[in-house]
Amino acid sequence: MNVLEVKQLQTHFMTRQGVVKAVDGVDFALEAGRVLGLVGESGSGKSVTGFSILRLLDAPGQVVGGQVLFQGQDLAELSEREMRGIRGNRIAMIFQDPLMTLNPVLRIDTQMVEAVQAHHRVSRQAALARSAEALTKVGIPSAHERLSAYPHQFSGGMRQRVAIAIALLNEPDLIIADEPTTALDVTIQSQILSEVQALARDTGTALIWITHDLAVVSGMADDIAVMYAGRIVESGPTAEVLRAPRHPYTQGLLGSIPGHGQRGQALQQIPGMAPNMAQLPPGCAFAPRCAHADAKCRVQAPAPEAGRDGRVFRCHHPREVAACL
Amino acid sequence: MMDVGLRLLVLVFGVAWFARLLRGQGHAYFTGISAYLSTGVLLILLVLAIFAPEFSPQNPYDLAQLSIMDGRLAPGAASMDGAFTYHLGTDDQGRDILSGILYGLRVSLTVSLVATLVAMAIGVVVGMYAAWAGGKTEVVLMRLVDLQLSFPSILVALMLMAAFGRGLDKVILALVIVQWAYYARTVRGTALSETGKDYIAAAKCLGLSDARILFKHLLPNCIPPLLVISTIQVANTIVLESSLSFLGVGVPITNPSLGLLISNGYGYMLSGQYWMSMFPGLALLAIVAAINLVGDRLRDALNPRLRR
Amino acid sequence: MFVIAAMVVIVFFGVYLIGNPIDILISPDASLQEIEDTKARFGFHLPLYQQFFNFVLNAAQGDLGRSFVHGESAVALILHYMPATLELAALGLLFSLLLGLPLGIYAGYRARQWPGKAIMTGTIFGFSFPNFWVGMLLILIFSVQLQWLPSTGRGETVEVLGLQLSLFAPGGWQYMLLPALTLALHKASLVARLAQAGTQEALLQDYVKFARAKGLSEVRILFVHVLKNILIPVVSVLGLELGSMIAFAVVTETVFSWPGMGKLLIDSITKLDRPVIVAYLMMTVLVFVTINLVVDLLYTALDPRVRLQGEQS
Repeated sequence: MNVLEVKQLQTHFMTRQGVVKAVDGVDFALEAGRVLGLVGESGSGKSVTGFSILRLLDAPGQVVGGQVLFQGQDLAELSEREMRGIRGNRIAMIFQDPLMTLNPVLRIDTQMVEAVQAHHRVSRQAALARSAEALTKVGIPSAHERLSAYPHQFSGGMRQRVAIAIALLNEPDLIIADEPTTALDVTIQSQILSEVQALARDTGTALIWITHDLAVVSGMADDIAVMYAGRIVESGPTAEVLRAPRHPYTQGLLGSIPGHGQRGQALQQIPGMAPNMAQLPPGCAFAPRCAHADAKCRVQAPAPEAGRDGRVFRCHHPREVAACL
Repeated sequence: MMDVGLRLLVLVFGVAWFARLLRGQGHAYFTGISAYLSTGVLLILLVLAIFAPEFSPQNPYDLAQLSIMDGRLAPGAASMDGAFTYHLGTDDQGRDILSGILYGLRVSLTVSLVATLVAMAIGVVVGMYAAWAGGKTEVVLMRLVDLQLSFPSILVALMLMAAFGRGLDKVILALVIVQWAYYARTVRGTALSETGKDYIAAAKCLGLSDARILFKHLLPNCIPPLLVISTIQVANTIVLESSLSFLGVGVPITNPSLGLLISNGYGYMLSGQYWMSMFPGLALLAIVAAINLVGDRLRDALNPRLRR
Repeated sequence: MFVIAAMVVIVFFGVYLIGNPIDILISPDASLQEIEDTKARFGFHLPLYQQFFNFVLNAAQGDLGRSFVHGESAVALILHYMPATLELAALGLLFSLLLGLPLGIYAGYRARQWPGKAIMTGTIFGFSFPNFWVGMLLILIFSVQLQWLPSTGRGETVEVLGLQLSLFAPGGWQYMLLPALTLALHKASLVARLAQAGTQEALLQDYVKFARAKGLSEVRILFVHVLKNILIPVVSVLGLELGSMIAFAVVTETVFSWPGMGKLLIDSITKLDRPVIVAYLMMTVLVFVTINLVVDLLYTALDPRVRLQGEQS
């Protein structure tokens, strides 16, 4: 059974400049133990998707349509109290910058123990033991001493490991990781990537890895979904999507990875800028930047089309291009 | 007639100045019931205070009008000769509390407004000069300011009044001395940041004299942050003056403020004759709260950072 | 140090201007000889600069003269009444925290809805009330009408750590409640406003979102996560306000006839008891300086980031 099924999710922000359709009809499904990479630029709606699943949207954001089914249960039907029981327990989230997400004036043990005790009636001793265990699992040495420390006493990479440990504390079925390695050095990044992947494999936890960096997910995700302007423009098994991208945007992303072309050649870029989400053009949102757009693209938004081997894409003129990574 | 006309002019001037202050930010100011209410109450109280002689049923300081036989009457009682109803009761001398409140309001407001204006004037001059002159002058002046500000105003005022003795002018003097430092520090801060700006440099390049730059260019730009502060300071000054009067070191008994009225009635409160202190107290609360609320709304409405 | 030195000069010369204390000590028909004797006894016959010199000398040794009225050492007099005032100020501070913090945090949490706005308007009323009038109002309600609490005086005391305190005395603490509440109202309003602003800001931070993602209850988020963060600015402001609280106690003690330093000061001013006034000022300055020190220490204890910098340097 699918751990998570997102159907036609729509999240809108009612701002003074107008309605921003941050998430506009997003579909995907995730099985237990699988890793989904959700890729897109800033403003594409990927983080908002993650928050929408957990119903953690700040005003003026609201989920206005679609369904989120977690283990078959429609999350919209749950009361706030029941939803709280799920957050941090059955679905956990890892944020981007752990210096900001860990409370700087509280000790690590306080912040870990409360995550345990919010969902299970255990003694403080038991919760502490579990926390120490989780810290060790993510590779933090001398866990027991480190528990009494404050967040600023850890390095960036360690802090993120703590955040990951917190996510693992209650053995969730699903972890949503929102750009967890963006703020870290490249070497730490790859370390954490492989560790998280191993952990997910061992515990059978489903993982959604949200990032703007295709290269990051290429190594660890089973499936990829590429988002642009609030919609998934292409999705499918990672290997397939990267080998033969159908959507011009995906092709552009792959093409702009440095090292892809010959030395001395100019870096390829996707022309234009990210769209203003409050004033999206009618038709395909990518049309203004697409070299292959025609009149139809500008008028009519393409519907999701299913291709072979579980591929889905939204394009009137999907390209058959073999991209090498 | 002249007198009434003059006071009417003052009132109109005040309202016009306030309207100019809001200058298009009216929608940001009048955001809800409390804004309307507090401004309305303030206006009413101001009118009552300015036109106290016209509104009050009795002049409580004209001994000829008083009768000791009317002393300590409960609210709503009639005078001994039946000609007069004391709506809020009388004090131990037979003075009508309502009239006393109106005159007291006048004294409280006048003292505080005058003191605030004078303190502001002094503070502005000192603060601007300190920022302009810089160097040792600034350090000395600011040390003085800091010294004064590190003490609670009530203690300083108490000491001063103990030294000066009672008297209306002495109260104003004490209040000015207590307050000027606060303005000086604020203005110095503003002036410092303003002197770094281009228009001052441009004025200097034009060869304008120091005095001209200070007063024509720097000063107008230092005033706006002061306006909101001074509104709230007026309220604080009223409270300070009433505390001093209550303690017996404030205004003289010939010209009582609300604080003194409350003090007079305090002794009778425990025996159940509450009105002598209660009603002046309510009036005091009303004027201070109204000013504070108006000042608070002013600050929010005029704050450029809050403008969406 | 500069502050203390300046104070000494100002105080001495300022107080000297307060009337002629001789007049209240001797009856008007005293003979010239008696007046001279009194002058000599209190040192008035010496030239001014010499009086000042003696004053500084004695002050350094902790002797600030004898009270004209009571005959005892002024310093001893003040010290005798100080615990009552400090006790009152401390309880007032506690009350203002207990009242102001929860209200302020809740107001910050519901800032845009009516509870938040109502509380904010309430705080403006809170610091609009003149101190003495709050006291009178409380006396009227609780002593005269309801007869629950005594209105004046200080009841029984109990000796704690060498000081006579009312708080722990069975017959004493009732006398403290109303005065402490009176003192607390003004500060509680300030605390509430600070707490509200701090809470509003804190709620925008990522750690609140993360805490919600962990499934923590709103209550815990507000009163553990947010509270700890806003405690730092609140405490530093409050610490400085303690001095102002001692100052306000002057008025409160008069209203409630609470036998503390403040009431002593007012009586001394009325009776032109110069040494006591001077001693009061000196002691107050000392107390203020101490308070600033304590606040700095507290700041270090509350903010772990400051502590770490201290350890590293």
